[in-house]
Amino acid sequence: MISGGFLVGEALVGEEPEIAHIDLIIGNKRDAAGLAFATSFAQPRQGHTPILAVVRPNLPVKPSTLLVPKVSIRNLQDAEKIFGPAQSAVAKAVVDAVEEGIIPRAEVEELVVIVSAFIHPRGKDYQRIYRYNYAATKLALTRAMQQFPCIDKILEEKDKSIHAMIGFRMNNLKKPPYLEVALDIPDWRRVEGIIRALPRTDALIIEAGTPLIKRYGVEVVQKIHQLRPETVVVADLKTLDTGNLEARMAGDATADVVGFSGLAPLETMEKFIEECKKVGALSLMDTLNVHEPLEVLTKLPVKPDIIELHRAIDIEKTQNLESEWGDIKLIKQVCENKILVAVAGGVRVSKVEKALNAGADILVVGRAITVAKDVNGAARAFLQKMGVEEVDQFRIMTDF
Amino acid sequence: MSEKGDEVITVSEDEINEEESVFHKKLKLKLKDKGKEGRILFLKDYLDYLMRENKTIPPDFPTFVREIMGLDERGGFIHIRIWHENSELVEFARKKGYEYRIDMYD
Repeated sequence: MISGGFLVGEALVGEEPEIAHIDLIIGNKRDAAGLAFATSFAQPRQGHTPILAVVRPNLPVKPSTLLVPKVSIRNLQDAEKIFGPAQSAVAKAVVDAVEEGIIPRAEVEELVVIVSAFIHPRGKDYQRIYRYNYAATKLALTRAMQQFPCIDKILEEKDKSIHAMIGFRMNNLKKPPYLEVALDIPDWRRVEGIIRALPRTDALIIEAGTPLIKRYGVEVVQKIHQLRPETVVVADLKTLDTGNLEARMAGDATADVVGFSGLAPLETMEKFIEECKKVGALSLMDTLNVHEPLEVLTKLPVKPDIIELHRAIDIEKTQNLESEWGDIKLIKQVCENKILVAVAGGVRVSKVEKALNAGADILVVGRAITVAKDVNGAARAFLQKMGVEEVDQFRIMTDF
Repeated sequence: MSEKGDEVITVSEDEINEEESVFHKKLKLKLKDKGKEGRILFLKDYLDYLMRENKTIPPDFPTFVREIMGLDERGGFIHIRIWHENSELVEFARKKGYEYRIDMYD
């Protein structure tokens, strides 16, 4: 069944501190798995001594299974947990997997299993350590033999999942439309109030506006992320010079998207985009006062991730202009549909449909939400008009 | 502004154009000591809380210090502007056992 190489399985089961995390490989003795088995067996490392899984003393399991502790064994208590309940659980799971046909009985002499087990030093309940490690090992074996997960599953889940320990996920803005709330008010306590009042949904982005950043520094992004770890935060720097330096500063301050001005020299823009890629942030080109955004985009060898078609607040105040966003579809075509288009300046609920029909992916809204008496209601009015589903980021994973 | 066929939208054009809408709340907080010493104690306590809770220092902290030192004391209470009843300051006041109440702006 496993003709060459090896299969890999993983499973996380239970609650802290006894939570079991199993990584394992199963493969043929004559291939890489066998070599790894023998090498690990012959070269134990301090605190990570591999042991053979046994049903009881003097009765090792088949396929031969090596248990390797992930956490360094520092004392007798740690050793007892790994050699006692964890080892027994792994052994029982492997044998049960054979009995249940998960591992082909005919191949038990040909196969080896290497199980890497996490036992928290604070785990005390042997019942739970045993049960969790048994379940995790069996699940990891099943997954390995089924070659779970398939690549389609991974691609589907990669932007949705929240790691159990970090509590948030990277949102790469793959599912537009988004509502970007621009926080231009340079008063932190007021900004904090707005952030707390905003609905929690994947479709909402928070922008640390240029005035806010100028008042408090780019570290304000970190504070926003502390309040909303799961939300994409844009640092609207409008960089005109020292592209790599400013992009790096914003990246260090945990910005997910960093904005530069389309008026900057080409070299600055190129360095900015390049640096954004290095720090894992998306780059945004702000076209405020840029007469031919398309021309600028065409000149750039590497395109930004987002282009913001921007109308200035000052113009908005003094002139009674309708928003003009230009030919969004052509912009996307030039960028081979690999760019998100944001529209900003005077976006109201009544203009949502027009903007979306024109091809906008992100609607940037400032005062229509931030100075509303009911911030939450105002934001929801936009989301509703955008056809965005209500809160979806606390989706419960029930499929595995 | 409301849209036909949609839910009631709470933002009016007047509100949108309003530069400085006044609709914040007041956190009325009783200092544990009077006068300048009481304010310094409060600020130290707040900073201590932020560090122990692994919270990033609020970006307006230098301004906040000046504001607190300059606020009038009314019957042992200082009135701090807040925009949300669950703001970090309220959370701090609650967790550190300060006597406080939240009022709408009057």
